[in-house]
Amino acid sequence: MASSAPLINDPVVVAEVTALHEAYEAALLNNDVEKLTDFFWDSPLSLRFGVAESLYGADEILAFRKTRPAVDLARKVFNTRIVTFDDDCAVVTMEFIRDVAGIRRHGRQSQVWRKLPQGWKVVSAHVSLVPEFYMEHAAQQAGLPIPDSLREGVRQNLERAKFIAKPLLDIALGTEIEAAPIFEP
Amino acid sequence: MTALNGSREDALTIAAEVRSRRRSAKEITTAALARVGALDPALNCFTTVLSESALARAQEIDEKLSAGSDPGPLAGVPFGVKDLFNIAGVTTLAGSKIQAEKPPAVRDAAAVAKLKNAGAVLIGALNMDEYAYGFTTENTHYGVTRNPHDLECVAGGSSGGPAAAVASGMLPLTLGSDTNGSIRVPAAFCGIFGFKPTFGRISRAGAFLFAESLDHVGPFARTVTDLAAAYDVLHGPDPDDPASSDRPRSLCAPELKKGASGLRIAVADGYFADTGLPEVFEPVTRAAKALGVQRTITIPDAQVARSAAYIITACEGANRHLPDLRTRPFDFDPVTIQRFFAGALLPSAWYVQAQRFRRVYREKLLRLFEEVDVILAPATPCPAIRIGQPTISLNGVELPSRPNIGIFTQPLSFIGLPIISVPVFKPGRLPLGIQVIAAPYNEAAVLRVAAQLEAMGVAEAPVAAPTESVA
Repeated sequence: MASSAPLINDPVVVAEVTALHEAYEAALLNNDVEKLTDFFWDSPLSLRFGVAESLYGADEILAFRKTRPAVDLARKVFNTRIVTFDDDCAVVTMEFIRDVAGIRRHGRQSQVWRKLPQGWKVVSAHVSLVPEFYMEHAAQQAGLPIPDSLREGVRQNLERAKFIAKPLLDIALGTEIEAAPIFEP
Repeated sequence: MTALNGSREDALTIAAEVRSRRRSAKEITTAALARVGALDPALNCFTTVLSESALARAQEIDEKLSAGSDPGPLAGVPFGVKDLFNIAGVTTLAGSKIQAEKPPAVRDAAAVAKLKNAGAVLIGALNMDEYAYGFTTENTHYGVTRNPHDLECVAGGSSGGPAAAVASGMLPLTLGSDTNGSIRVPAAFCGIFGFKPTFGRISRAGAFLFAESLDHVGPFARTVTDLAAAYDVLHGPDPDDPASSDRPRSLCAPELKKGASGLRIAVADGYFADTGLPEVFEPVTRAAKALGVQRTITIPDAQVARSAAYIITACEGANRHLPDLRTRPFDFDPVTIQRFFAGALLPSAWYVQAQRFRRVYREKLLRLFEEVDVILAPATPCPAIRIGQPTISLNGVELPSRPNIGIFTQPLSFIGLPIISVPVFKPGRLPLGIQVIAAPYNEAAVLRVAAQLEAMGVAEAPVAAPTESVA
């Protein structure tokens, strides 16, 4: 059978998937395990790669959901992209900001949705966190919260310091070299 | 109202006039206050003017002279200090809004007290970058200090107020501090002499610290004899400053007449002849020619020294302000706050590496000074930049201006060497500075070479012509 070009981003389908995406996000924030489970394809072939866990099949996904502590779930979602193919397939991707143990983290999520006889289901999903930036961790360790509006400037200054420090870090110092506690030129 | 010119009189000329009673200290002080009133609105050097106490102090000096007692070698000399030196009864701002809430200082900083005891009359406190963290004196809280030679340009920093007050002829003598170049940079940009003696030679007691491993105190003036006179009054051990050197005092003024003769002088090559506008190397060449110097010398690891100075400054500078960074970050100057946060987060390994490297670098440079007595290098990679200028173009690369103005000064203050920034003028151009550098405690050598350059007419510090906006 000759394949014909799929219908991409049909507004009706996009609206349908957008509503599902929003409902999923709401269920996630409320840790509504029943609803979340229902959004996923009930099959041994469904898949969810979490930040730390690789879950194969609906049973493993459900087991994880049940034991997951309901902390740090709040997240700010941005750059949501929905691409639909014909009326039964969609890819939903987005980025998010979430505080994990007091440290602000940047994450990404991808889901493949398929319209099955029982309705739209997530058949495969992957959540990841962008590797933690030193600044966030150091600021937390130092008990020094950085206001949002200053973050980018502080990040740039740290990058500059790293650049300027390079020759110093590249130089080999003998183990016998000590700093002068009271410096006398 | 007619424009009031800056005064060309140097400190020692004034002191001689007052001591010989040809003019009264009160007359001198009144004139200085009038110059401040006329010239400062356009330049913004002062954060506090102490008219009443200055006039009262001048009267005391005049009374002492009438009574036949000696008011000191700087009798009646009007002076100002960077607003990080404590002045009894005045709140030390250190360029910050946060410090403005603090109570007035109980007593004068050691350096202020020494100048006062020598008969000098304190006219006021002078503008600076917030907490001394900058090279431009573009202070959001208290305004930018303008360059007397071009009002659209910065005066340099962080001791911009003290430098511009001298360059404009408002005052013959001021005090600044130098951690990475904060005396030498504004001296170069404003075309005056700025002297950063050896680390620990002048007490920092009662001065608001920036980065204690590197903070120095020193004078600005328009003549080398004034620098020497101020240094002779200021230096010496002080138990109130843990970094103060125990070395006995050693007067420099009597050494000046020796000039440069007998001193082995070389021009720094490599790092100090590389990244800068071509014009900044001209004064060094001119000075070397005048002094008959052909020798060049390589200061090793200057780039590493600059890195290490930068790291130590960032870490120590930020640590002092941790409580305020936590609770009131938006009360800092928007131009310094990100630097302070970044400095508070640098890895300790970097800081310790920098402190250990300082020991190594010191050994290397002390060996260098077995071969030469004095080294010449440019003070800055460019003349004064425009106010608000974000980048400078060096060797075809656009670099952020603020962190790069100090590339030639940072590697040298890093190990506390005595250095004078000597001003050189070329018609139609902004002034530039030459760093005259010597081994630790060899203040006499840098003063002698600076005096020689001054006598030869290579170095000069003319009072800036008043600009129209001053009228």
